[in-house]
Amino acid sequence: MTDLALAGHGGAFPMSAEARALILEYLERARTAMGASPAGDETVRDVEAAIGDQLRRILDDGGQIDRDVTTRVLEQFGPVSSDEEAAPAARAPFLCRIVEGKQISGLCLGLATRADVRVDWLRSIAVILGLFSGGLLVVAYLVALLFAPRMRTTGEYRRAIEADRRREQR
Amino acid sequence: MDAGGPEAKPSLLVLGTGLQYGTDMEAKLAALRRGMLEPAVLAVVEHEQRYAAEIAETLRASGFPVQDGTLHPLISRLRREGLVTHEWRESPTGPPRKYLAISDLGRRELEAFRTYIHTLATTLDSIGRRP
Repeated sequence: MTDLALAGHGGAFPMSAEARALILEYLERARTAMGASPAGDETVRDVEAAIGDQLRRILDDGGQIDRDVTTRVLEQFGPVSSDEEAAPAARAPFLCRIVEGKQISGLCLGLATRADVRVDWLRSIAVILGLFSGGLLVVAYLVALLFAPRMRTTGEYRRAIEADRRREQR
Repeated sequence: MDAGGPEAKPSLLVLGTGLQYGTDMEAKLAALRRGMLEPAVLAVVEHEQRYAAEIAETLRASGFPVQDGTLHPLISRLRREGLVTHEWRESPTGPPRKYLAISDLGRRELEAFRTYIHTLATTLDSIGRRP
C-alpha cells in the first residue's frame, strides 16, 4: 500500500502501488493532451480533483483503491482530449509580448508576427522612430507594455491569429 | 406557407442512448452528439449553477452520455470564451467546488444554437421533397 495526494484534496488517498501508477499515468497523458498552457494546467487540475472526489466516495463507502477499481474509475472518465482544434479558444490580442525570442519585452516580436515582417527590421525601425519622435514612441511602448498580454511563442500567436481569421470567415 | 409537418418531433437528445440502433449507427449518432455537447452544457447551467460532476450527471440522466475527460476541457474553454462564469463554493465533503453559471454571452449563444438546431431538424424533414 502507498498513497497519493490529489489536487485540491486535503489528505492523501491510500491506494495500491498499481492504482497509483495508473492514476499518475492517466494524468500524465492528460497533461500531454492539453498542452503546456495555464488553461491546460487548470483543466488537468480540475480532472485530478474530480478523480479525487470519486476516490473519496469509494473510500467513504468502505472500499479499497486497487487496480480494478482504479481502472473502472479511469475508464469512466475517458481520455482527456483538448477540444482546441474544434474551436481554438483565445482570441489573438492586437498587441502581445512574446516571451520566447524577445529582446526587451517581446512587444516588437508580437507586432512583427502579426504583420508578418522580419523582427530585426521592425526593431530597428522602432529604435530609429523612438529616437526621432523625441521619446513619444518610447512612451507609447511603455503604455503598451501595461496592456499587452504575454504569449509563449510566436507559433502560439500565429495559431491564434489564424483561428481568428477562420472564425471571421464562418 | 404551412408545410403541414407534425408539431411535436422527438428531440435529438432523446435518441441514441440504448442499443436500439446498431453499433455503426450508434457511432454516427455519437458523432452527432459531440457537436451538440457545447449547447447541451450551456443548457444544463442555464437556470441553475452546477459543478462539473453535476453537469455530467445531468447530461447522462437526459440521455446524453459524456465522459469527464471530454467535459472538463470543454468547460475550461467555455470559461475562457466567457460563455460561463464560475464561483467557488465550499463542499460538504471534499475541496471547494467551481460552480458554473451561464453568462449573457453564453445565453445568446445557446439561443442561437437552439434556433439553428431547430432549423436543421426542420430542413432535414422537408429537404428533397417536391414542392
